[in-house]
Amino acid sequence: MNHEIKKISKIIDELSTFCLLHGAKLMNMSVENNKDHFKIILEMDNLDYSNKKVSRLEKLLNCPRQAEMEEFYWELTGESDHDSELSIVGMMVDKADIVFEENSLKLTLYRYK
Amino acid sequence: MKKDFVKNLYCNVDKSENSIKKYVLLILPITMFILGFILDDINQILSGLYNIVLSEDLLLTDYLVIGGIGATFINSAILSFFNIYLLHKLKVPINGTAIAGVFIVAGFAFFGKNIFNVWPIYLGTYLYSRYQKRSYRSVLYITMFATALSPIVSQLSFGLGLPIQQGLALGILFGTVIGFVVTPLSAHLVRAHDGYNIYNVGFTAGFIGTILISVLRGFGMDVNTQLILSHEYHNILKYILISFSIILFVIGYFLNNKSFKGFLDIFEFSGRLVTDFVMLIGIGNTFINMGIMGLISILYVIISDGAINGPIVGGILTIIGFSAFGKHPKNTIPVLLGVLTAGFINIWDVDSTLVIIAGLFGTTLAPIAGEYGVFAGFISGFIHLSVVMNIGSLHGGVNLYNNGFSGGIVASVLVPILDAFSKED
Repeated sequence: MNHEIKKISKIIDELSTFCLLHGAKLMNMSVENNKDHFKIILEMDNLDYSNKKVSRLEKLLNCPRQAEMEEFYWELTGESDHDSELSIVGMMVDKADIVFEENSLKLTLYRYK
Repeated sequence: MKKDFVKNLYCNVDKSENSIKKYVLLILPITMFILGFILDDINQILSGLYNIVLSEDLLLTDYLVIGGIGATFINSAILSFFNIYLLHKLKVPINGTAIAGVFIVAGFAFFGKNIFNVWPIYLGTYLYSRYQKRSYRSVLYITMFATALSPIVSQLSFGLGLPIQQGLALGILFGTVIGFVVTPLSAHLVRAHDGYNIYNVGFTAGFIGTILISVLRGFGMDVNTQLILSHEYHNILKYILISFSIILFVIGYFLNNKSFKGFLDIFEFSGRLVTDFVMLIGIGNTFINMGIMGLISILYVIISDGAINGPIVGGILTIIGFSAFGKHPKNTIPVLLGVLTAGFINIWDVDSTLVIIAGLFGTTLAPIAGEYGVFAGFISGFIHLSVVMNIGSLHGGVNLYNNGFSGGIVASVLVPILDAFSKED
């Protein structure tokens, strides 16, 4: 099995856990299942940018997609409520648009099929 | 504050940095290749390799005894060269996992992986990737780690007393099947310990080995652990490992612009899977960490009053490799102290190879110390020694990463208990 749908669910799980752990009071998420790619849009307010894990967000999502890491570790995404697995999320998506504005964050992730 | 950026596929792969990492990875196998031919002559090396190939390879089979130091170095060098070549050929980025993979193969080529018994595993993962219509590079990391079960190939080929053709066919068949199933299994079993056991394939291989050996025992074919250990190469191995650790440290220092800037950031990470230091703190600081961890490992062996042999070299090289992928002094030392303390007050000899490698490989539990603190790390190491000393009989020693199997069990039980004491969200 390729577990493609489950991987998208896991990415959403990880992102929502991350946001709620780091101060989100309001969070909106949408998922588009397009012909050649999935598009995940996440908007949230009240992000604690002083937190080092939050400031590391750019770095973690801005890594190349790595199928070899995904194959090995994708089931870990969304599994822990201690530490975030954003590095795996970064390795599972092809493209990430990230906009920080004041205390809000808008994330748009693309994962090609 | 407004920041925008767009990530594109492979945009961040710095080709020159990737080349530097490959050259650094090549230092150890090139050194071993040259030293192999200096320390032994060609005839000794060839006969040594022949003996290594025909050995049963169950835990613990020290190739320094079976084949001599020259053949063991050449065996390790060849397997390292091959894996680095695969990484290069398939254009796989050299990240923390890749570094850990190369070092674990180089280390275990001192006691269990050899130029004969690893190939069926590679074939199995290749067939899996073809069957799933994926590129081979997507399973390359798992393949490097999955060679933990290589002794099954040797054991079935040469250890059961079967005619050579039947033995070889059986060994290659089972090795290939293991390679085929290890990818989905390891991806699934990682959830049991939530990434708190760094040697996840060891955990997976433990289950595969246990089932396989149970079936074989059901047919009257028994497989048991053994203890073949050398003592005569302690000094030369110690000096090689110390020199290599210092070289890594110095290379890291220069790659980090002749500074230690940013190195202390490493202590912010628990080490839980996936913690890729190459990505998080840079390649310079990663090599600095690898050098420091190499020296700490050697110091641990010296404090334990142990003799450096094949399995201990494997343990030290594995720690050095995984210091690019989760291990650092802060999360590793509590586990080492836990095993050492257990060794002093339990029934086992603290200077025995079994106890020392339980400490070295027990650092698979470093993420517990990193996440839950020093005391939790100490307790995990303490428990680990007892578990690992008992669990090898389950798989008869065919799983080289016995400590990864034990670590997975300890983490799977300990983490929920530690969570039960936490009052955080």
